[in-house]
Amino acid sequence: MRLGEGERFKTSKKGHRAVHDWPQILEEFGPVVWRHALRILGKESDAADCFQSVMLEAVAISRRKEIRNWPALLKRLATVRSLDLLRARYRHAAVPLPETGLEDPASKRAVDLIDDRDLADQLRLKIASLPHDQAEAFTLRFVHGLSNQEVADTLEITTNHATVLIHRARSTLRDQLSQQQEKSQ
Amino acid sequence: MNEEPPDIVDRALARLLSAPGPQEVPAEVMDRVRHALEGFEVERPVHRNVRLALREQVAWAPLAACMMVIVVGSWVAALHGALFSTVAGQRVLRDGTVWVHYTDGRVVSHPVS
Repeated sequence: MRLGEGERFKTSKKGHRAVHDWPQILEEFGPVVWRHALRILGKESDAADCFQSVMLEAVAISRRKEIRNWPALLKRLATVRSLDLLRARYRHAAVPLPETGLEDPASKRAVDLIDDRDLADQLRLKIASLPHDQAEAFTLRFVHGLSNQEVADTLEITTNHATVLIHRARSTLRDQLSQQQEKSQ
Repeated sequence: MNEEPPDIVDRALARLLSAPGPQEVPAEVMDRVRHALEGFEVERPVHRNVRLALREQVAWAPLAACMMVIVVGSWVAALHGALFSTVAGQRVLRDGTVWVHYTDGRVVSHPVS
């Protein structure tokens, strides 16, 4: 019988989970963390690193304090660590992302396809350059698909604050992506 | 009919969310994490938290106050010893004189009164 998320991972004594629960946690929440990391990072090797560090960090946190909401903790850790890796990647890359390279706009369809493929990388780059709180809120909202209320709960801020962060992040990203697209055309 | 083009952020998100790649955790990654978690448990035994908890239970303020009293008391004692020498001991000789030894090293002799 499958238990509810809240009930299944209720802690025993003073919030310290028994070691044998970890396979269950990996089994149930591993795929969510993995997909999230892969979407943000776009590379399987980076997603694997992120996945491992999230799980180990979750173990460390569970030893220090009681975890009331495992899914929220793991989603937040996955977001934060993915963004950290993303920032590190673009910081160390020191080279701009490749342009589309198509000078001939005759084939509008082809340009659109390549633009769209490039857009995902552009979006990653722009998310990495956002302020940390905005990047976290935007990622949780649009990549994880949480509601504003859930984002607020996960980040432990008010719903209004979460809404403002998401709105600012989206506006910044829209402006920057539009500018980038104009340059490349 | 004019159709409004989709927002550029939505387009980018759509591309990002449809990124190719395994949707399930690859087996080798899962094994690696399981192994790391087992190693983590061995490397960081539970008593580490117990130590931390015990450290938190120490009443640091009274302990610090007690240490302060001891330190200040020893200073006062040392100062007192330096300023006011006291009799450390006496020796009565066969000839009837008494040698009095003071804590500062002085020795004074006088006849038995």
